[in-house]
Amino acid sequence: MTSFLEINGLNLSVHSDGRVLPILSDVSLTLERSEAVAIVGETGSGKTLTARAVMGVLPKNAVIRSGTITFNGVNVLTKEGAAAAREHIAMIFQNPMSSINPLFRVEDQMNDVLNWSLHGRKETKEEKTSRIRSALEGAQCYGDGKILRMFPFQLSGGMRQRVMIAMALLRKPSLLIADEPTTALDVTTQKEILSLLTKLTKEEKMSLILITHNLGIARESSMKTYVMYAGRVVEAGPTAQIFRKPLHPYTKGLIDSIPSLDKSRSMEGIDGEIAQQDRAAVGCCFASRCSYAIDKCLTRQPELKELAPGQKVACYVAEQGGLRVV
Amino acid sequence: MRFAEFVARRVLLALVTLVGLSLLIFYLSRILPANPGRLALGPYATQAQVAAYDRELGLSRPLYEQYFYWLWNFLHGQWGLSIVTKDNVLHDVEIHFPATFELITISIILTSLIGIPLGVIAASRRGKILSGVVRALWMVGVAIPSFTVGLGLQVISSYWFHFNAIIGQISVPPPTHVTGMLWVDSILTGNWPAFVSTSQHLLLPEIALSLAGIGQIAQLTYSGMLDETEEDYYLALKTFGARSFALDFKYALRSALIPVLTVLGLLYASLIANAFLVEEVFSWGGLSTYAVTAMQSDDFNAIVATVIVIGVFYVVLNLLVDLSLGYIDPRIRLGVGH
Amino acid sequence: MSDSSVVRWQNFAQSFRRLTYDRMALAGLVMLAAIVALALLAPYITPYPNEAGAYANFGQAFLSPSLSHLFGTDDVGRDVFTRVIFGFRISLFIAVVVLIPSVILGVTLGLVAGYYGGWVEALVERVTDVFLALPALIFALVIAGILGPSLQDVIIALLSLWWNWYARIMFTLTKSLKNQPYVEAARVQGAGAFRIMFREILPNAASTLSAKMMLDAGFIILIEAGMGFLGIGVRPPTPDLGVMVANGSAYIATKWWIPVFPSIALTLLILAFNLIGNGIRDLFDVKVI
Repeated sequence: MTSFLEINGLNLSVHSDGRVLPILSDVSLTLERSEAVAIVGETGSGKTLTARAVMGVLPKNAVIRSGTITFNGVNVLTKEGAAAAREHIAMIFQNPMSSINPLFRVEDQMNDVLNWSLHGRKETKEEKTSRIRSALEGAQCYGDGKILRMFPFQLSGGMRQRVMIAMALLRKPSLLIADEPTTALDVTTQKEILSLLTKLTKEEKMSLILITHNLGIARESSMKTYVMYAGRVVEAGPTAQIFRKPLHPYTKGLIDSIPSLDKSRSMEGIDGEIAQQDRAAVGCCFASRCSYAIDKCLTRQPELKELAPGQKVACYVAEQGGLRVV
Repeated sequence: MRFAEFVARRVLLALVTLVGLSLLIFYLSRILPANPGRLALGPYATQAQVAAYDRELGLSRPLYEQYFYWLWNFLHGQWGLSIVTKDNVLHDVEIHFPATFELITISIILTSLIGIPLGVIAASRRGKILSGVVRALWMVGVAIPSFTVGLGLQVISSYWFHFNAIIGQISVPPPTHVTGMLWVDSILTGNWPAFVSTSQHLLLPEIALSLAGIGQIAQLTYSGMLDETEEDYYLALKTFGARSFALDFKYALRSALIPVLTVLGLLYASLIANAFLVEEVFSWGGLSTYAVTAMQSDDFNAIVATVIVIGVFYVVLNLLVDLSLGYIDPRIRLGVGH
Repeated sequence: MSDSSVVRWQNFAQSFRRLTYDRMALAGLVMLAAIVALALLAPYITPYPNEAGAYANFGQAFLSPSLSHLFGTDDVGRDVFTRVIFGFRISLFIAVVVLIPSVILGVTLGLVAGYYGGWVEALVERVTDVFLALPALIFALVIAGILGPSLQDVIIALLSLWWNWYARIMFTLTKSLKNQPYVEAARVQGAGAFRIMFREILPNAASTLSAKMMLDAGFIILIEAGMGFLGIGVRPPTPDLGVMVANGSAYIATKWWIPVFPSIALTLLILAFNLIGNGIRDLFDVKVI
């Protein structure tokens, strides 16, 4: 029995200045229908490239070295498979300021997106207009319809992100990938967009992959959480369980760094940042920043093991029974 | 309406520049030379003639009065006489400008029509070889002086292709005067022999004048299109099922064209400078030939007149480019920053 | 500027080394180094250094290229190879003498105007507008035409125009760079205006400026050659590449080597500067028109 979306042992490298840099190492992820999964990690952890691999829109210098991705049983790493998958997956990007072409009216772009999804099927102008209208209404930004005649640069960031969501809705996707959908927005707008996404995925029975560096957002909107670090999944499991009892030192550090009032701050509890050499490290990728690290951590990369029901962790210290400060 | 405001502001700035330019020209013509009268009348004028001329210019009066007097004369068509043609230099300019205008206008049209599609096709996946061609054309086109291209074309076409239209504008009786632009006039009057002859004579100068620009525009379009494919919106539309054709020609091209249009405007204006070199090579009877003769023979009023015409042309053209950019990019039109 | 990261003088110098990774830029650097070496050593390596300038030996005129005269001889019997090498000297000399004062003056003015803003800003903008309201070649031709053609007047003509470009570009860069966080930080720490301008802002503008300088060196050489070609620049018998092409163009049909070799030399020199300029532009990802 295969899952709705399955990523298995994905290894991905990027060519840059004649060098080959490993970016994703052995990334696996499963997602069921109507499930909401969060991928959490800081900048450079590889979460966006994972999503782009699923959509088949990797940058030109990225190469998949091994691993499989299947969506609905179809291999998306072939050109045809990717095109087929894109019919049912829609992606929302981090910065709505750049993810919509500013030079074309909302109406014009929505109309094109709709036409591309029809594949030559004929629809009357009235049908199209009403579908565009209902998509915008679904994204709660139709208002009095004036938005249709506006240029994206005339809209606020929140409104642009709603237009982006409306474009995604036009395609009636069964999986929505939201890549940091609220990072570029102010705090009140963040909440609105997030609850809109949650509401829509429930109503339309869409699966959701939510990519975020913000654990608060992951906790509110997902059932399962994958924590990524330096291109590896270091911990995965039911969201509530991970928050209650994080097993990986990195996850623990992230959770500890959330201020109690649940403001959207993050990562500041851990010193340093992801170093390039961590990706190719002999030992654990997190060892250089880990305050629990033992000798073994510096010699071999730990494997992902199920240490609690449904909760997988890649950490020797956790395997040995928990996090104690050395 | 914000666009009206935008236009008004740009027009005002252009007017300020023109006033500044008139001050600069006034400085060059009246203050920089030790003896403007002698400079304007040439070495063969008598001392009494020079003195009379100086009185006419009001050289003894305060500077600002001189400036306004000069400006008043200038605005009333009193641009002074040429020591070479003995005619009002304004009239000389009217005779010579059309030939240059025709040359550079055809050149900028050719540059756009060849350069932009070349860049777009090179940027589309198929054009691996073509992108190398564009890059080479750009690199060499910018580095090789246009007079070298012109001389080379003359030799190659006359020796290997026995093509004789390598000098002048026309080798049959010219068409009836309508605009002063021979090629245009031969079309307007339906003069077939003149049309054929002017077309032949235009061929080589246009290549010499346009080569660098075609390379530049093709490269700019090419790299602009490639940049657009890296944009988030390009990726987003791709995930929404956009076909490459629609993405490239509708969405990417419009954004990529904005810098291209800016450069086309600058190029059009700077062609008038390159035309100086090309006209010299091809003995083209345009403004440049007139100006170079004037400079070589210290024909002062004629120099000032050509500078004014070119300056006004340049400023007006830049204004038009600004305005058309405002038209294409709604952000500029609606007064929103990027 | 594509990113907002801080650049210090030493980082800038270090990243410059990466230029040699770019094959085209490396080709440009090699070409330029060779040309500069030839130009500097011209009196010692050219076969007939006394034939560079005023010299005539009609018995030797119009000799086609041979081992004793690599590029042949011209209409008055001078060795074209010798003159081309000396021509590099003139071209490079003019590029340097025009560029360096223009950069110093223009950059300083642009920095001050961009940093302080207000009426200084408006003044610099309007004044440069006027100077740039004519194509460069035309402007230089007019000034040289009024002053009278000579090497010195060509330099004055180009100088009086060129500082405007640097004032303009530095002014725009300063306006965008002065609001960067690191400038703010330096200000909070009590750095004076002078320090902020030259230690914080200028290093971050250096990539754009150096790309512009390289491309401009080629452009100045092109314009100077154009002036020489039109006869309103450097005068014969000075071995100026533009003048040599103009004089040789009369013989292009029969004695092709007289105009062709100076033309090739000119193109290679300009190409070398452009290759380096484009390399710097790509290296730092800066926009220069």
